[in-house]
Amino acid sequence: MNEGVALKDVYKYVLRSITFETEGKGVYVLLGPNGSGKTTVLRLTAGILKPERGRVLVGGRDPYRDHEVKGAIAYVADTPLTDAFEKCASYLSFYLQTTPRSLRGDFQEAVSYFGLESVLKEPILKLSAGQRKRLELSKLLLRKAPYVLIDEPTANLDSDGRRRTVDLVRRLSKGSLTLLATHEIDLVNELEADVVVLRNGTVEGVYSYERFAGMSDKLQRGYLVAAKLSWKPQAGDPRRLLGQYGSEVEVRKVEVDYAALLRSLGIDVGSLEGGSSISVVWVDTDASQLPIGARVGAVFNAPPDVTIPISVELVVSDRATVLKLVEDLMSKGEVEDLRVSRVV
Amino acid sequence: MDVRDYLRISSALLVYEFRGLFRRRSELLLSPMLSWAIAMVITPLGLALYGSSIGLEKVVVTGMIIGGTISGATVAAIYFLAETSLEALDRVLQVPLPLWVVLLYRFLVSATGGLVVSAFVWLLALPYLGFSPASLFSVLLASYVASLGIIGVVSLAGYKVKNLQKLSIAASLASATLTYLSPLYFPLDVLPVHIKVAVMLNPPSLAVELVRKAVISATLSTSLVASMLAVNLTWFSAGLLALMRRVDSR
Repeated sequence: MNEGVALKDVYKYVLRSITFETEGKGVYVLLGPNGSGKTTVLRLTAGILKPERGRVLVGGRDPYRDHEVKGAIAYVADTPLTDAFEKCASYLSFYLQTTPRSLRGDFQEAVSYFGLESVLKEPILKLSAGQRKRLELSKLLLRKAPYVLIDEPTANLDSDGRRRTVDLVRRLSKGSLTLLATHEIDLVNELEADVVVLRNGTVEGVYSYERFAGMSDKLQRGYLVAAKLSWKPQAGDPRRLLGQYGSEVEVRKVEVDYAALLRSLGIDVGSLEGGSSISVVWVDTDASQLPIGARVGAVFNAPPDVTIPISVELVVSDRATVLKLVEDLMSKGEVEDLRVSRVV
Repeated sequence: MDVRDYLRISSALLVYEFRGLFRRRSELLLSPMLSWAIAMVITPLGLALYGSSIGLEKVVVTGMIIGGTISGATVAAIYFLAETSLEALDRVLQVPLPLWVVLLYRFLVSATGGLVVSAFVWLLALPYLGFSPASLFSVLLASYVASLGIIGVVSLAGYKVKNLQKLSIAASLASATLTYLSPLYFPLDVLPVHIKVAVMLNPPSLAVELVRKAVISATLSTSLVASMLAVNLTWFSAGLLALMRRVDSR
């Protein structure tokens, strides 16, 4: 079946006349900034979406119409595709049970490889962003598919998770075609992958790894700074600090880890003793939906001995600003995890 | 993929759908069941003591069974809407089965929600009306088939539920429409022909007629069963096709 993936003159959402083709094995990276259409390409290839125009072929067959080829595809989305109340074990079991026997992997191996043993009985809403990513990635070991599609494989992962994921992708690509979407140039270098560069819904170029390595500096548009911090409340709202950088810093994400914040305040969500419990904490991050005084930003008025766990994702235009920004962040809180990578 | 794969994947998908209905969204079923349980505590007893000479309680309890059938079918449609509109489709679309099979399973499982509610109301009514195989069979069949019909109408309408507040408004409206455009309080035959034909197109109308006849006279009308199946399976098929087109074009 391994004839590779081919998109021929495909239109869907932002995509405009996308055409490219891959070999039947190896790693290909769809590289492009946010909104360039990477996820749409993966969903089309997974047979979840139907193109408005053009053809998508996997192994010479249409994955939207041909359910057999759909069974030969392992699709790892950016986050688990289910409601947040579902338990992790149930999410993975369903995926394993709907995998053809010849491709079935081992449940225990998948769980232990990504360190999910302790969260199997938990609902997905209790998981951190990194754990959710690990949960989704573990599908790769449940369905040993000849076609592997991964959306943002390293997003939200710590260094251990990232290393495991890169190792796994390397291993899988020896026997399968792996197509992954990312905006990180460094991931291409780690995997020595061939590259399809997408921009504004069109294919900007298709490069072998050797060719890409020689010109990656030209394609680079900036640096992605991803950090997890214990933010000092007296430093104020981090958005205000980041706003001072103007157009040099594009803020992609500033999120408070509410579960960790509640734990630091002595509230372990869902496992309170003494007969009381909180099973669901609902946080609407759209402040316009909340009454005055209940805005999410209000948590930054917390007592000074409490630090606020936050994660940020920023795109920075040049190296000097990266250094200044990191310095600033370190002065306002304790940096627990920091990753800087080059992005297109 | 061989036959065993198909069977195993199909059963896993069915189990997933049933778990969605009976575990994750069980409150949708429990709410009307609780309402009907409260309704059946004192009202039929009072009516039996007050108007037993004219069998008042039999008329009202029959109406309650019919009401239970309609509210069960409405619940089935609400569950279907919630599961199909709230971005839960991407997951089942990864299942290696034909799209129509995946959606068909969702239709069939959703409709069992209606069956459960109406069977529960029928059980509560047993002390007042007694057991008859015709009434049991008609309640089960009518509620399931009417549920399929209502789900079909909902799919055909293509209503896109974006949040739960809208869903509850839609549910209230649907419940009122289905109830009062059906012959809940009168037999269908008393209506003028052109109105009768229009009312018959309402998915629960013929189910209501079937249940009323079976409960009151303990007989099963095959012509009513055939008409009810024809109307509701037409709605169901049209709804399934419409949903497949919506999924194609989303």
